[in-house]
Amino acid sequence: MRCEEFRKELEIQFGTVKLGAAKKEHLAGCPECAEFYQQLQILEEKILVAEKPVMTADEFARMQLGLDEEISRYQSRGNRFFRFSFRYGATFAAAALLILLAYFGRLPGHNINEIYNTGNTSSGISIDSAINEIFAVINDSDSQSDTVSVQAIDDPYVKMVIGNYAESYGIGADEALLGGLSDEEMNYLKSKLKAGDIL
Amino acid sequence: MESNDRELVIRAQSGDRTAFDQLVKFNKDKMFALTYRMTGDRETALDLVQDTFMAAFRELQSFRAEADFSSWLYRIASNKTLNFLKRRKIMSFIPLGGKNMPEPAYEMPDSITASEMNRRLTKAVAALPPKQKLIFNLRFFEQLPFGEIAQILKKGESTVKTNYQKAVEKLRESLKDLR
Ligand SMILES: [Zn+2]
Repeated sequence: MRCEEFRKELEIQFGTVKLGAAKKEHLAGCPECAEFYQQLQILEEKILVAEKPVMTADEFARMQLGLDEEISRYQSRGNRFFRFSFRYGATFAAAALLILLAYFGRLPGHNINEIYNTGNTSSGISIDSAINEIFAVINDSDSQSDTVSVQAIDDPYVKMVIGNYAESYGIGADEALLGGLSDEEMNYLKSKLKAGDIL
Repeated sequence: MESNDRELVIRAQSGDRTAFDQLVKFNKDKMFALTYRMTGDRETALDLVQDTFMAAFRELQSFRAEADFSSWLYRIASNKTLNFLKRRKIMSFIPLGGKNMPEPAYEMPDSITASEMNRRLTKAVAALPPKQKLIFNLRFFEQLPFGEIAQILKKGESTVKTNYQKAVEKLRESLKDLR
């Protein structure tokens, strides 16, 4: 083995040099390489006195706390997204219903006035209970943190209210509310909308 | 993979948080030693270790058991550290204790003190290019086989060896007079 090659080999094995017969033979017959090898050994000894960095107990505790927080945030991200959107959905639904009631209430001769006054809808349920029904659906979704199961709003009047709202105000502004609707209700809404509307 | 780690990884993959915490506990010092030697700053090193474990937590399902878990962690930590060094060129160093520093056998007129030698050594390692420094740390301090380092860095084994040899050559050159 040529000297240059031999020294590179020693450098590659720096820290773990094992002198086999061939290496010992070269070192014995080559003072330059022997000197080189000795230098490497000294360098190794000097670097080896470096202390291994270790986390202190306090540092580990801090790191663990940070990691815990990050993992919690990561794990709740999906759940929080749904809670967030449904919370806004609930607010929106309330606003939408108030607007609707005000709107229909102002229309002369509209039977909603009578309905409202009597407290009953055309399908025989009270407006209060219709509102409650919508809120029950939305709040139900809110409380179920990791699933989005929404029971169908199976009342024609409620469907009509949402449908009329969609017709009057456009549906695109309201994805949070729509997110709380079942496929059936969604199809109902779609059927009420004209081509070219958002959905 | 150490059988202990293997079992813990399987449990952690199925959602056992205690098992994941154990993996963190068993591997934290290895990751800290590397990130600290690479960056020279304890807080930065802690952040990088935390980032490493967080990434491992997120990607746990993608970990395949044929590799060592610690190799996988080293890979994440290495990438994060190299990225960090790329983003911010900061000086890194090997912390030297100097407790067992051998006294010079004899006084020479131009002999240097132990602390001066530590400083020089520190500076020399810090001055290595990031990839050579990483390979030097993984090989010399963490004592990983070249094959494993090659897998960690997704490089050929001969490339890793060449980089290590270059790193040693640079250290030797810059510390020539430290004898
Ligand atoms: Zn020779």
